[in-house]
Amino acid sequence: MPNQADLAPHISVVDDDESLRLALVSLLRSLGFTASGFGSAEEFLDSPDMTSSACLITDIHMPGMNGIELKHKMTHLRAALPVIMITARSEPELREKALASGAVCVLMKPFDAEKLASCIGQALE
Amino acid sequence: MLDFVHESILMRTPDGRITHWSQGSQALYGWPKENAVGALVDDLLSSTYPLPIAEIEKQLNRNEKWEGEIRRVIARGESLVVYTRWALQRDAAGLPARIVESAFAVGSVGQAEALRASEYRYRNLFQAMAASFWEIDFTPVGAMLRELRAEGVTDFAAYFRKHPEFVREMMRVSRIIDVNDQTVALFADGDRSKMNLPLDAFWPDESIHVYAESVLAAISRQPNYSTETKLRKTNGEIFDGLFTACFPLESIAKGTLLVGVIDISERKRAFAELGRSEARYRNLFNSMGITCYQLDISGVIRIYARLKAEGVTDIAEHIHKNPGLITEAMQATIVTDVNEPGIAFVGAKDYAEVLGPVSRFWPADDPEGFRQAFIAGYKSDARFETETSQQTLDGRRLDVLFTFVSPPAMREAGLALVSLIDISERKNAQKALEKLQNEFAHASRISMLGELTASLAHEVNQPLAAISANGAAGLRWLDRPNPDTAEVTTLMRRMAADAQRAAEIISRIRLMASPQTPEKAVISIGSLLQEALLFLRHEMQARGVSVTTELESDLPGVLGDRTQLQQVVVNLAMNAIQAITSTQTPHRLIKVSCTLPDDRGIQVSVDDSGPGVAENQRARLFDSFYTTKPDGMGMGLPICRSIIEHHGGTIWVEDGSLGGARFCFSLPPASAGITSGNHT
Repeated sequence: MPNQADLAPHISVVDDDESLRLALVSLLRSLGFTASGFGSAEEFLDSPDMTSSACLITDIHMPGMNGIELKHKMTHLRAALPVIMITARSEPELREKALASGAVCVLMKPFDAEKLASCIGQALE
Repeated sequence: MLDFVHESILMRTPDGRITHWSQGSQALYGWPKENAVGALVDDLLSSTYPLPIAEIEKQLNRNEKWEGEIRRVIARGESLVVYTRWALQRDAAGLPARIVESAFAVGSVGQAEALRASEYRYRNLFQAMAASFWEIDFTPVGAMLRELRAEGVTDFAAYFRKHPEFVREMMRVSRIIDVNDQTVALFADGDRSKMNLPLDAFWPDESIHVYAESVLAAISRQPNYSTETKLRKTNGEIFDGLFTACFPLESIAKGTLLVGVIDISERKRAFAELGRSEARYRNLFNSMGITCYQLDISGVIRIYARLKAEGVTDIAEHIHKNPGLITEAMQATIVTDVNEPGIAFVGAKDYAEVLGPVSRFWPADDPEGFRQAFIAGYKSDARFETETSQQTLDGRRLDVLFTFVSPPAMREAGLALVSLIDISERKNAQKALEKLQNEFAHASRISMLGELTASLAHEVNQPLAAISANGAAGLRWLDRPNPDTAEVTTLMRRMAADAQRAAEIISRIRLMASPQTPEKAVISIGSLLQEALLFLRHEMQARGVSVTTELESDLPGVLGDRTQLQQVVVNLAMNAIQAITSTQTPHRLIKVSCTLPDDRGIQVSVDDSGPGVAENQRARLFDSFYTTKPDGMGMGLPICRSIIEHHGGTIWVEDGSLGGARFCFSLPPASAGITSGNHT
């Protein structure tokens, strides 16, 4: 995806919920990033954005490969980009599992834009 | 003096010239005296004699008299048969001087023959009649009675009562002259020799008064005496007979009387049986605790005849087009009898108030029961039963079991019976049970919602997160020196759509959580299944279970309560999910299908790839408090069953095609005679 500002970091979003995915992409752009969205983990792994992204925001619960499995896969592929996980579920053990897999941040839907921005800041450090 | 009698008296010379012609002669033969006197009798009346005239004259000369029938032609030219008596009178010398002839009409020629035929027939009748006839000589009885009178007895009736032995003696002296074959058959088993007994052998003691009364009737010159009485056969058997004694004056003079006996024991028995059966029927009719009417349905039968003549075959359709027919039929159905309990049942003051058309008992807003009975009657059904409501004369409304009976024999007589049983209490109990079942169903839905909390929270959070993100992005786009309104418009549109999505999810949850009383409507089972699965989408996703649906096309609707039926599907699918996740099966599959097998209405099946249900658990699975789950209450499936059965369907479990269980339920299609407005 060509970006108007090459200097702005590129962030990828993976979520099977189209509405939230589009909202996130728009939010990231309003925050000054370039962003692209993917409906599934598999789609993202097949795209060039897998290597060009500065950060990945992924949902945990998705049909097919879930967010945690995607992180494991990326680790396995030695893709080092930081991952922020989001979920609509609230089970504490899920959060533990996500952090253990190497996620920088785990956000509960619905989340605050400021909180997301600070997570991204943390990820891009 | 000769003119005084009505008989014809004529005198003639030995050569036949008429010398005297009485008024009776004129009346009999039609000729006036002027024409007759001086004429030759055979010229005037052209007589035909039964014997040659020479032979008659020979007898007359020898016996001085002759009598016999002569056919004569009278003045009007008709033939007449007269019975004549001739007497020869001689002069001093002993020579024939004149003949005196009296005559009376026996009848026209035809009548005379008819009389002879009738005598013959009488003999024949005596033998051939189905009745037993006796000819009895009671001259000795007459003698006994004269003697009695001579002794000063005047009140024979009192004497007979006091002296039954005297009556017995009268019987013994009465001589049997003749009996017909029927008598022999009836009294002596066909053996005439056994009839050689005195008359009193045939009279048992209990019937002595009957014999006495018949004697009294004869004395008091009654033409006959008839009564029912017990008589005895020669074999000792006593039976009921209709006894008739005839006392024509001629017989009395002759000292004989004619007795007829008809065996009425069969008739007596039949009457007694009929009486008993009528009494039984009355007893039953009156003492049964339930209301019974007798109806005169002849008016309705006339309506049926009219409709049949008009060629009506689809009676239901005909009624639909002519609703006035029901009112007409109600008016034509008349209560003609009601039993005791029925009077109070319909709130009447007395028996008479109940009688009349049945239209008074059918609620104007609910004539359905009558309509169905009318249709059943048109098809000549002998019996019809339904639960319906009736209104009473004092304005109450009752739920009743209405039974209409009119077997062919009754129907021919235009009669029918109706019984009414008050089922209000049962109906109330049923309503209470339904309420309880609805409460259980509601509790079960709440419990399912509890189990689905996490999934449902996820489902609501999804659009909320999108709204939140869109809102934050929109604010930032607007907060720029050159606000990007096109971007903001897109975001706002998505926010509205997400809010709508959230509202839909909430409404699904609220529907499940609501304690509303069921409302039946015709619903599409396909859309019901889709909705139920939408409800579980996240739960399945979270547990890695995938679901497929197979819906047959052109499925008819079902009549039912949407929430409850959806609850059943959700419950079965949740059970499937739990069955699958209870084991480490590599395939996590659920298949929901809806088919239309010929014999079972619409069938919904939920197949899972779980471990299945052991054969010996299947029957108990739908029992309350039976569970195979560690934390289960054992109420889910019993409630499913009560919901399905309440909808007229069945629920069961069998081996599935995915390796696990298959839970199925079937429901009658809504097109099977029910519409949403008609349910009670």
